[in-house]
Amino acid sequence: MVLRFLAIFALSLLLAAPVAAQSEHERAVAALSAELQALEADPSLGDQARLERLQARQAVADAAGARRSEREHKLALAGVRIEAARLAAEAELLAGQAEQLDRERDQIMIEASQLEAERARRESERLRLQAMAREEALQRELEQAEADRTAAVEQAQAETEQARKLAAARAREAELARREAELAAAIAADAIIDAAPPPMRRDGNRRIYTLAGNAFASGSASLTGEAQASLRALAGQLGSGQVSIEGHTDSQGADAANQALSQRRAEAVRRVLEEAGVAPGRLKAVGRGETQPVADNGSADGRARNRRVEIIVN
Amino acid sequence: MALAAAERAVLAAEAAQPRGQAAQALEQARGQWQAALAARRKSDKLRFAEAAAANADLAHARARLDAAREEVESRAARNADLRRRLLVNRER
Repeated sequence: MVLRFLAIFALSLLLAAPVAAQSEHERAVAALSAELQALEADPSLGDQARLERLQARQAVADAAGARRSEREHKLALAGVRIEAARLAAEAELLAGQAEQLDRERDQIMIEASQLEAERARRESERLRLQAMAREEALQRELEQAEADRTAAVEQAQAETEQARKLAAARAREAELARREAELAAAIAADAIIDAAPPPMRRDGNRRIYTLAGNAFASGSASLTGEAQASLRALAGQLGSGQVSIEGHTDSQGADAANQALSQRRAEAVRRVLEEAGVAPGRLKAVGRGETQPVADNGSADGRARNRRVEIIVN
Repeated sequence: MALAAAERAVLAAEAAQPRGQAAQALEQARGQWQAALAARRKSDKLRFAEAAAANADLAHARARLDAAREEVESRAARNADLRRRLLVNRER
């Protein structure tokens, strides 16, 4: 009975050992399959490393169908393949992230470029406004300068006109005074009935009558009554030739003033001769100023001789 | 054929210039490939060749992962530097 029991127990052990081994192998394969499925179900890794995952699936399948003698080897291979698939998937995921970082870099560069462009645009706008402001300020300055210049011109014109009117009034006043003096002198001359013409000298065919400087009031072109009477007496002796009347001064005072005074005195003599009946076309009045002295201007006597009007009859 | 596949896998892993754990896996694969070459029984040759190929692929994958990590870290640092410069430039 005991022997029979032992025999049955030993037989059952012999039959149960392969079943237990088979069950352990199936659990190992199931664990590997679960590991591979977890990898493929991973949202970020599941789509990566297709080749490596295929190799892992193949290795798991080989392990599942392996003969007993190869089971350990095939299980180890499947484990390595699954690990390789996981690492490859992570590597691909990181490679994708690296590409994403490159795109991000590109975006940063674009933003930097846009920033620079915007900055350049603002700077350009600032410079444009600055230039416009400068131009406007310059324009205002130009307009102000033009207004000032116009006002100055108008002021100068007004002052010039005022001075001209004043000068004209003074000239008229002087002319009236001169005429008054000449008229007074003429009236005085009318009273002189025995006046002699100015002294005469000859120069070739020319007769030169010299009216001395005392024929005029000092600094004036108004002839004295005696001088006018003397010139009236001369008018009847001038014949029909051309008559040149030349005024002279001494060297006292400015050249221009002396020139003007000699011209006015020559003109005064001409007017008297005209009034005395000498044809105007025969008469020519010239001012010589101080350029043709006949005596030394260094003495009072010499200067008196130099102050003269010469009536030259050709 | 398994030997040739193992050799290709080992060469590919070597080209990836593995370091650390990847280099250790490659070394193991090399040893298995040498064992496959030296084995006399066909079944042993096949077993060693399969193991060499699997470990070489593992070394290759790990080397790719290491390189990808370095690349990501490098580019992230570069982008951070660019961002910082952009920010400074924007506030200037």
